[in-house]
Amino acid sequence: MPDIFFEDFIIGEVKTFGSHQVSREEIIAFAGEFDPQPMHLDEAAGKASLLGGMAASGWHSCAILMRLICDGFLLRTAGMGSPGVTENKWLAPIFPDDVLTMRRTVLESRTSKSKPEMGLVTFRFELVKPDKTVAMSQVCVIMIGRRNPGARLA
Amino acid sequence: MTGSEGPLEIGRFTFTRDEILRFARDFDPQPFHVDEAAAAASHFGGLVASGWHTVCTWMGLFVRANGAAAGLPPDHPAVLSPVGVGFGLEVLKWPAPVRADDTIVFFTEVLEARPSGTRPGWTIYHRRNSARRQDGTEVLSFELRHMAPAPTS
Repeated sequence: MPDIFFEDFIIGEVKTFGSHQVSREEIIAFAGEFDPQPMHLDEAAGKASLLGGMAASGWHSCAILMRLICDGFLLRTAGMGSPGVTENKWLAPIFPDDVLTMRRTVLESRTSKSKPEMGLVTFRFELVKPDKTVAMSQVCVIMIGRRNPGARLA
Repeated sequence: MTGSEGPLEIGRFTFTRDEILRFARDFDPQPFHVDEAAAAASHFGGLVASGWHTVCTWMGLFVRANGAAAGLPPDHPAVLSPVGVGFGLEVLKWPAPVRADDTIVFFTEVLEARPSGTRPGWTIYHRRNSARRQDGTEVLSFELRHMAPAPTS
């Protein structure tokens, strides 16, 4: 059962979660299915490409971020899905053996008039490399169940 | 040069139960994506695909719909990266869930295309991409900005 609810997300809070070392094999496996451009599949092609080396698909980065969000806090949270992503920026390529952590900032929090059992929390999620480079930045809204459904907040 | 000829279909994909579970176990193991009993008890009322599964499937079809022209050398940008590199996406929406055995139709539409000011031979695109169930219900939309090798023909 979830033990983190809508009320637990405090605007302005910044926390860092988890880590994931990206393997060459997973870059190739993901790209083969979802982004089969040679720059994501082959070392020489990656080196000759704009990326400067075989790098993960940006969509793979989104999937890795989602997993870090799940393992970091969402699987313990009364999550109800997401209506969407406000923006997602790919800022730096992710290469084999890069270690990524997820940094979460709570940007906004509001209750829902039409659905008193939930609220909407807007997060900025970033994938951060050990040298502090931000490889990807995403602003995403997640619907989260309320501990006290329908309670009036000032 | 600006778009648009309207949304262009790039392909279709049927999200089977097994495909939904496989993606979600790797990348998005929320109960309503990986556990049929929990999904039935959730506000979704049944198993639904991860929104990222829908988005990534769009990309797979987009790349396959844009292969490089034949006869180019292996180090040509259109061979190395036929749809190039992305800068980012905006206003991504998942307005309705994708359920097991839904066949989803995927689209792309060019909103704007202009030559790169700094990289000759490359074009900067602003697209609106989307996906619909066969009954027309939109399940995904987003805007994408990316830079791709200019058409070679």
